[in-house]
Amino acid sequence: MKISLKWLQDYIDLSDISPAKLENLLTMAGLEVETMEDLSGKLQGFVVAHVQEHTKHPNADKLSVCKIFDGTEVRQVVCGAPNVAAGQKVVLALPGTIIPSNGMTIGKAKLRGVESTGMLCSERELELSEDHSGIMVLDENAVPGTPIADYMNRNDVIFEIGITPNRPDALSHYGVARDLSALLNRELKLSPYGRFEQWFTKDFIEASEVHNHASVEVLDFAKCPRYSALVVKGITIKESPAWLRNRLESIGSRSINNIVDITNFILHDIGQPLHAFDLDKLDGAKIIVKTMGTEGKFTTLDSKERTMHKDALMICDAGRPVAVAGVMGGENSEVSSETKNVLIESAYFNPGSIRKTAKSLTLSTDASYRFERGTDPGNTLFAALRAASLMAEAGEGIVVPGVIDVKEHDIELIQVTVRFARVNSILGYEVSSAQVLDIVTKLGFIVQAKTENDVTVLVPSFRPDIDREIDVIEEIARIFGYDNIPAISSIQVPMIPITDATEGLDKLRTFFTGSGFYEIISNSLVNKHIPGLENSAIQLMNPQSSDMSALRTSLVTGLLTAVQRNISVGERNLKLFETGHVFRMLSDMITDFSDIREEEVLGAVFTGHAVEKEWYTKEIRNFDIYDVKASIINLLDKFHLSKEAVFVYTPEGNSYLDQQISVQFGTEVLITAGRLKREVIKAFDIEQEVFYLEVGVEKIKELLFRKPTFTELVKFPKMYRDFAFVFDKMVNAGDVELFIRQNSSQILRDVRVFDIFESEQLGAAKKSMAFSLEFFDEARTLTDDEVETVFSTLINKIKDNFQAVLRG
Amino acid sequence: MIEKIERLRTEYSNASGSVTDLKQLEELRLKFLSRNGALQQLLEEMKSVPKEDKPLVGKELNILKKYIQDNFTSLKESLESQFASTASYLDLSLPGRQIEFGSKHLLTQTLDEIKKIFKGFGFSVADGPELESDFNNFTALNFPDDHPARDMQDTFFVNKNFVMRTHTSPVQVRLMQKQVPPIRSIMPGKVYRSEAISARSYCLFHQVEGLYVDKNVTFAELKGTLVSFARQFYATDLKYRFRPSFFPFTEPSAEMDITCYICQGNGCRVCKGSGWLEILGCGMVDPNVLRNVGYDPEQVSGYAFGMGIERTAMLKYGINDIRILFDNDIRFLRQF
Ligand SMILES: [Zn+2]
Repeated sequence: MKISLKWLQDYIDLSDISPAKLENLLTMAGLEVETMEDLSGKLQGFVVAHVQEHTKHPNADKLSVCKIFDGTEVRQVVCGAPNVAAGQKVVLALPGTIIPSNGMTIGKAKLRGVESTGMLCSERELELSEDHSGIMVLDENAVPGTPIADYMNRNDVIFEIGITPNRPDALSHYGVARDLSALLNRELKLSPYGRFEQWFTKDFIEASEVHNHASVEVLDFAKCPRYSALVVKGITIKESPAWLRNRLESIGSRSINNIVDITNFILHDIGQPLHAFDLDKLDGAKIIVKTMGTEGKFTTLDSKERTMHKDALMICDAGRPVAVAGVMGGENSEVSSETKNVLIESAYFNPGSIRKTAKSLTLSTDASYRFERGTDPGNTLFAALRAASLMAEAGEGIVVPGVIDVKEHDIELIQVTVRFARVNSILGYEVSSAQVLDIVTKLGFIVQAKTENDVTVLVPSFRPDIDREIDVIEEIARIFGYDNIPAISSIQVPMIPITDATEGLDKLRTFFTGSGFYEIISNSLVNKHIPGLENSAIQLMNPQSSDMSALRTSLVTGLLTAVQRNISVGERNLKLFETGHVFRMLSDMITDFSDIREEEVLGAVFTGHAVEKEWYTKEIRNFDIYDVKASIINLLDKFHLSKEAVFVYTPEGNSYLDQQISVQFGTEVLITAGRLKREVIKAFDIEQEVFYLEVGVEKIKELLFRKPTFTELVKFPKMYRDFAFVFDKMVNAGDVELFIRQNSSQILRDVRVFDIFESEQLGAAKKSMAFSLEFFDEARTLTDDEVETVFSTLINKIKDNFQAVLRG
Repeated sequence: MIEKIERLRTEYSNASGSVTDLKQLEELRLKFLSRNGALQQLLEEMKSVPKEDKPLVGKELNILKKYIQDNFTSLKESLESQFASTASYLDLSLPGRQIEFGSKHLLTQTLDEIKKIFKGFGFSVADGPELESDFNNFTALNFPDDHPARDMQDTFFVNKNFVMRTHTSPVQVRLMQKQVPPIRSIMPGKVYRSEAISARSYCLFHQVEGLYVDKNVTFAELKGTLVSFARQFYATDLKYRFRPSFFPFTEPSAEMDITCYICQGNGCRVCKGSGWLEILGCGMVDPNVLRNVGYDPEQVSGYAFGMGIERTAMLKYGINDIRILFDNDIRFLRQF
């Protein structure tokens, strides 16, 4: 919202306060100044000047040479504008001036051999409009030498203020001035514009003549608790007076005509949105406020045909809708250049109702913005009277005596009791009862009763955000100043255990970074069409784009997007991981949390070179499934889970992986890994193999805190035996290892495969596998003989069980 | 016999593989190469080999003998040369056999730092779902239906009743529904806002919120906690200010600014000329929120605060485009 410093001063004297100080004051009171602009800033160096003489340029047809009086001296200026003429008052840029539109500095120059000391300017050069057809011609009474900022009433500062949704009372100049008056302890003044005392007599208000000219009927008091209206007759539609145009232009609002400008002025002045109807276009000179109950088409005054929701509140005349209540007027009843008689609408609409209508139309106007936040229901008549008096003044009309003011009942002010002790217990600082009383009074609360312990106040009708004690306490803190409440340094420590739900995840992160992985964070909103991963994805109702229309069901999407991006910048060798939530629908409709599975997982990818060419390496090697398996085993070992973990191998894989390895722990699958299928990586334009590992964080989380138990260190020597067998190619090393463990004595403590090869000598479909066996006993030294016995028994069992042949 | 030869070969190779010093080398020699060593014994057994097998066994035995002697000699040389600096020239300027470590994402590192400070204050860490009910995300937090406060956060809807959470505040609701005061917890996590993706905004970001509910929790204590946090996290000598703001779930509500450490408060592009940087929002938990979870606002009070981790990290590390945090370019990730 734009607030003009000059306009504010209609209501409060701020002449002794610098704009910077004002900015700080407003911000620290919750009216955050986002930007501050000194309008005269870019008009520095421009003055009113008088064209005394005008002759043709000797060397150029399109140029002329002027003698210009700038208030102190006469200077020669070359000008190219077609409309320049002797006797005009014009805008002169003195040498040294910067032209706002192009940033050029005016200096002394020779134009086609004629000296020029200054420049006559167009509106566009001053960034006042797009007009560049000729130089600006000023009022003939303008005084040469007057700075243009003064001449144009641009010696003003504009504050852009961010008003939070709880402060509709501050959505106007008067509203901001009201806060300043409490902050500065200064009286508010009456605005010099629209002084309606002449109309606002008891006789005028009580006159009935208006009822002969118009009538208002409200059929839906819930949505329209109050509707005030006045009639102004015999007006002339024309350009607004200069003060009014200046006011609107200063806050960036375009002047249209006197009547429309006055309604806009009142909106920005005191925050009450108004609408002016052409009374002669209202069928039956009648206003009916009602909910239509059926959907319908309606053309608003911006000439757009809109579909109205059946619950939208409409302003109708005797036969048809003429405005969307609180949002925008209709084309069929708007004020035009022929308008003579006007009905001023000044209403209070239910905020929720206006919000619904504006939302359904996806239309937000200055009016709907204020109505949906809550205008002052106590102010409608006052606003209408001010508008009427301004229209009478600026449009030479006559206000018809009498007012229309339809309401079901008078507005009841809310009563709130504030306990002084409560103020202190919330703020943690003693604000005295005298200070409390002073602040609430300055903010317009009406003190009804006061005791030693509390004060009971009526909340002014312009503060719809306040209906509880805590709301008033906030106001007290705000005006008292948050910075005046100390930051205490003794913090209470509660005697409850500190827990960290993210600790398990952090352990996993530390493991993966220690294993050489970089953590990524990717978008959880993804394209729903991803091969192998599109099952039961949850879709957004209002996505920004189809690439971000579904919730990820797997971290594969983000990881592959990152892989693709890195490959595209030449980084092909990657170990990346991500932790995050994945989402699935468990039924067709989400009505309850049981229809959703949201789960924290960790995903890691391996792609490119596992071993780079270095001075100490023989050759480059790409990542393969055994790198993935190594990470799995490291992870299980690191967290002491190896003993109970069961590996499951599925070479053909699932919908998006092959070479699949899973790790089960009891009935839960903790880890799934494998190679991403070709169609999956192709969808991301990736040509190189990518291996994937996924950890179910929710399932593994609790297991990560296992404490290993201590075992005594072995004091007796270990013994080793190795053997190699020729097996069928389809025999898994893991199966042989398991067989050895299960078919041996308890002195066998470890088995390790250490050599595998195939060769022509071994024959097709055969392979050699060599195993190393470790024997020991905690209690004694083993003898060669007993090891030998176990070892040779085992050889025979393996021969029998696997039809294997011992080598060597 | 051939079997015995093979076994000795394996035995020797295992044993020699684990030799790392001269003492072990001598043990190896005694076991295999001495007069009573395993090799000598095997050579003696040669006598009892049947005549017809002698050529084959003799050949294998010679191979084994040569293998063991060669291996022993080279092992001996290499062990001795370790201590003889002049034995061969070492180019110490060669790069080491590097193992690449990874790193946590900058946002995780920033969050870790924040977590550490608040855990030091006695805060626990809680989490919750990102796909939330409209009730937990808005209604329970005192956002009335059809109120402009809902416009403060552009929301992604899954349907009428389920949304992508727009803040981590629903975790506060879940915590309070589950526990009785005192509660002192922070809740980090992803939140979603339907904002156009640009240098300044992304469709999701990470937040840390904090909640403390107990008897006699005050605004002054809130200020103390946050000032202490800011001094530990940003700079020990910073200036700060709290200014009134609005959040439906707190009252009074405030935003906390600290002096811009880029321009020391003189005004620059980062602070948009104001000299101040907004770092977090906070306030006293609204009585309606306490009541919604079954607490009695006359008995307990609380404060809450929240900050965006992206913004925090960007300020701290001088990053001016939020998108780089989600591009996952390894050249970026390696920098932290
Ligand atoms: Zn700065």
